[in-house]
Amino acid sequence: MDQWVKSSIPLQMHRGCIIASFQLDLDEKNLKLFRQELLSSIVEHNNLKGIIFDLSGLEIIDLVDFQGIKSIISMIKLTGFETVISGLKPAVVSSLILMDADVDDLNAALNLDEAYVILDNINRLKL
Amino acid sequence: MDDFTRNAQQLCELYGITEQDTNYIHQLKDTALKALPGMIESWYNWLKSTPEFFEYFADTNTLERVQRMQLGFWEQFFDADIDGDYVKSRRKVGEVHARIGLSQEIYLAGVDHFLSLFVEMLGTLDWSHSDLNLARRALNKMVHMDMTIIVQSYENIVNQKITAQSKTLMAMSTPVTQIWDGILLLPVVGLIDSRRAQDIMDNTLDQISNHNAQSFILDISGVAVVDTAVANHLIKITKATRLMGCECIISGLSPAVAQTIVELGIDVGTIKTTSNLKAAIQIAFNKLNMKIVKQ
Repeated sequence: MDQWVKSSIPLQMHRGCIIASFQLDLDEKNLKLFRQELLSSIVEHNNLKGIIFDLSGLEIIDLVDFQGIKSIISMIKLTGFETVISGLKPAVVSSLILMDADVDDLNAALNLDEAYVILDNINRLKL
Repeated sequence: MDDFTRNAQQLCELYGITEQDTNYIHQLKDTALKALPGMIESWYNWLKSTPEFFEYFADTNTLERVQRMQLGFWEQFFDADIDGDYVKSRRKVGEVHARIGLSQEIYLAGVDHFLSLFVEMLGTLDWSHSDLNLARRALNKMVHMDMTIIVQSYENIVNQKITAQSKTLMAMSTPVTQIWDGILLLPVVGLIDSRRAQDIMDNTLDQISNHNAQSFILDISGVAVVDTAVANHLIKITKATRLMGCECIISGLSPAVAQTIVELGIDVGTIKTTSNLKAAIQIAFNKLNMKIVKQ
């Protein structure tokens, strides 16, 4: 039965990147499921440019969720890929900064287009 | 509007105005109405000696209208029919005073003037001593209640004005403008405290998302003091813009500011800073793969 439980965060491939669209507010169980799905789909692909977290659907991110997202990003980094988060809302950013969240060494983009550009730049530097 | 004051019944309880009191006031009505035109006359004679008179009532038409309104005001007072409409009309008086900017001083002096004339008027009646005392007490209570309602609504209007003004000031103090496609500029002038830093941040983030900006230049050449607190605010703003996917460049760092920042041991991390606006614009253009060409 557990095999059929999926997180509510859809994953899709586009232009060599995995795009994860966060549409619902997060909870711990969901994040854990998502983490497993994402990491296993990363290792399935070769020729992957990177991962984009589209967070534009989130109205609220608390520190725990943020920490969860950050730890997923570190895990992805261990598999050798870069992650860009895109489309954060002004109010979300404002509240994260207000809560003194550690936002250093995160790649962020205004929208998906910019996220591709950032990933391309990072990949070019690696070569 | 309605939740800041008591209603008519609560006001009566507050001032202990009973039916007996309103009866006394009502009995005075005929005598008072006869005396009122004279009283108003005497009040305006006094008012003529103040500078306010020429500011508000110099025009004959205005003066007549105001006097008529005053007569109506006291007529209603001696009807002593304290209900919602009565309280409403008193509030209206306070609002009008606040709108035209008539000082509370003049209004309170006026009330005192009339009250003393009413007490004088009581002396001309052939009532018993205890009746006169009770009537005087009733007058006092009523006048004070009127004053409360009027002063309260006056203050309310003035407060509304102040709130509106400070909002305007706030919006004016963070003028984030787009100077090129994808480049925003905010010149900060004056002091940065935590409240203002928060305003700057919120406003900036909104503008970034509205304009899809990729570079944001924060010009601090007009900021007088940059201490640890201010530097921390600036660092927070840069972090926030970066989280939106927009690069932040701080321009206008004077030699003095550069020295204090290093002397205070503030770690500005990876924040891009320049001494003048030109260099900052150059960085922004480079990032967007654009350049300005002389024709």
